[in-house]
Amino acid sequence: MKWFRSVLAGQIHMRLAYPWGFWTSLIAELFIVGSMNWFLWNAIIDSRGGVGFPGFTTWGLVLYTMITTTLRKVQVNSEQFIGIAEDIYTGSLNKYLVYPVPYFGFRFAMHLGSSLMSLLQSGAALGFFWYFAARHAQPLPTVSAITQFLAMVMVSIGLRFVINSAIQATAFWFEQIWALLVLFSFLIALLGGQLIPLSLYPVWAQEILQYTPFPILAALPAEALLGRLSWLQFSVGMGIGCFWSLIFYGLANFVFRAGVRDYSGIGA
Amino acid sequence: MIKVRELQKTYRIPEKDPGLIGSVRSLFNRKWIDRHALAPISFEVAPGEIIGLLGANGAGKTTLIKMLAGIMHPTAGTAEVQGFIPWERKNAFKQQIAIVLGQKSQLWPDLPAADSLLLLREIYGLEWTAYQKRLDFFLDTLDLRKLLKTQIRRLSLGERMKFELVAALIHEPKVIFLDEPTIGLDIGSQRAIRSFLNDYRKTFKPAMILTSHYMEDVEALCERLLILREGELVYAGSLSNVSERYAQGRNIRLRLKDESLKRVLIETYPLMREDSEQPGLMRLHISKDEVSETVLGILKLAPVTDLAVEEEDLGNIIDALQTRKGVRG
Repeated sequence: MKWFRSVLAGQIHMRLAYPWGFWTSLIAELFIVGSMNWFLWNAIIDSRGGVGFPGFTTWGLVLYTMITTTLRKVQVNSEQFIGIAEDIYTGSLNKYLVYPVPYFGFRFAMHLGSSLMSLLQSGAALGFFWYFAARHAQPLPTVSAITQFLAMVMVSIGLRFVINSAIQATAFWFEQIWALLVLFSFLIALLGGQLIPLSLYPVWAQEILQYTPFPILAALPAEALLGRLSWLQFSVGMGIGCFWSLIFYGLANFVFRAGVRDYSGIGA
Repeated sequence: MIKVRELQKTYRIPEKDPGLIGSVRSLFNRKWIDRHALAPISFEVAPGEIIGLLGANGAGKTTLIKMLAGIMHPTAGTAEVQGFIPWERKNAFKQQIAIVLGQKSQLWPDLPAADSLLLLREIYGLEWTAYQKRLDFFLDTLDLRKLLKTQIRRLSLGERMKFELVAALIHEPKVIFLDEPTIGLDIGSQRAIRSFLNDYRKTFKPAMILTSHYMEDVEALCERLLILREGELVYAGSLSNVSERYAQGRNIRLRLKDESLKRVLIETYPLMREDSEQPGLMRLHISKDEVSETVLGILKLAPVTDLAVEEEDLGNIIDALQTRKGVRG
C-alpha cells in the first residue's frame, strides 16, 4: 500500500501548492453561514418569546451549522466532486486502467489527501472562531468530543466517497450525472441535518433517519463536537455509517465493473 | 509477445434525429446503430519487434491498441499479450505493458516530474536501485535531468512527451503501445524521440506497436506494417515490400543542356511535363519496366545536365492503401 501513501502525499502537495482557493471559499462560506444563522436563530427565538431549543444555546445552533458547512467542504472536494465521471467522459480513465492498482483505491487516496487538507484548514478556521468569538457561550470541545468527531469525520469521508462513486459510475451510460450528485447533496441537507439539527426534527422522523446513511454525513459529527453525543450513540452511529459504507462500496464496484465492460475510452 | 486471432470490435451507438422533436423521441424510443470499428484481424508481434499500425483517422488503430492494452473489451476474437488476456486486467499483465497516448497526458500536471515518477515507482513496486538505474539511463539519454523538478504543466510539449515516455517505460515493460508519440512535436523533438525509441528497443527488446501519421516515424522505426482501412486489414507485411509490391511506377526528372530541345522531347514523350514551380525541370512518370529504354531514348534525343530516376513516394503509396478502395494488400 505504499502507492496509496504516495498518491495521498501527492494530493497533499498539490493542495499545499494551491492553498488560497480553499481558504477564500471557506472563510466566505463560514462568514455567510455563521452570520445568516445568527440572525435567523435569534429571530426564531425572539418569535418564541425568548424560549430557546432544548440542549442548544443560540451560539450552539450557529456553531452547529458552521460545523456541518465545514464537514461538507471536507467530504466533497471541488476537484474531486465529479472526477470519476470526468475520467469516464474524457477518456482519462484509460491511464488508471493500465496501472496495477485498483481505480477506486487510487481515487480514494486522492480524495482522502484533499479531505485531510480541508479538515486541517477548516479545523483551524473553526477553532479560531470558536475560541475567540463563541467560547463564552459554548464551551470548547473536550478531548473525547474531538475524538468522536474525528472518528466520525473519517467514516463520513469514506461514506461520501463511495456514495459519490456509485453515482458517478453511472456516467458510463448517462451523459449528465451532475444533477444526481446535486440531488444527493440536497438530500443530505434535508435528511442529514445539515441545515437544522436532527434533534429538532419530530421524534418519528429521527427514529427513521437514524438508520439511513445521512446523519453521519452531517448531524452526528456536529453533535459529537458540541459534546451532545453519548458513547452509545457514537458507537451506533459509527456502526450504521460503516454498514452503509460497505453497501455503497459494493454498489460502486458493481456499477463500475458493469460499465467498464462497454467502455470505449473516448477522447484518447 | 503479442498474439491476435480474429479480434473484432463493433460499437453500438445511439442515433438521434435532429431538432427538439428528435430529442424528445430519442428519450422514449432510442435507435441504435452498429458501427464496425474493427473487422476480424489476426497478427503476431515478436519480442524486440516494432510494427507500424497505420490507417486514416477512424480506421480502428486506437481501438485495436485499447483492446490489446486491456482498456476495452472486444466484440469477438482472442488476444494474448505476454500470455495474458488483456481485458481481464490482471495486475501481472499490467506490470508488463505500457501505453503512450500522444494526445493524452499520463502525468500529473501540477506535480514536478520527479514526484510523478516516484509515484509510479510505488505503483509498480520497483526496487530502489533498479528504479534509480533506469531513471538515470532515461534522464541522460533524453537530456532531461535539469527538468526533473519542474512542474509538468510548465514544460514544453516536446519535454512533456519525453517525460511521458520515461513514465511509461520506468517499469521496463515487455510490451509497449505507442499511439502517435510524436504528434505535434517539432522536428528536433521528433528525431530525439525516434532515436530514443530505437535505442530503447535495442537495449530492452520489448514488443512494440506504433501508430503514427508521420512517415518519418514509420520509416525510422518499423520493419513491418499493418495498414487498416475502415476497420479492415488491407496490408500486413514488411515496409520494404510495400514499395516492391505497390510502387509500379518510377519518376524521371531531368534538366536539358539546350532548352530548345524541350519541344522535341515532349513530342516524343507526351506525358512529360515541365515543373510549374521550377522552370526548366522536366518530369515524367513511367512504368518501372520502361526505365532503361526511356532513359536511353532521352539521352539519344537531347544531352542533359542532370537526370534522376526515383521510386514512388512511400507515403503516397501508404496513403493510397489507407484510403483508396481499389488498392488491396
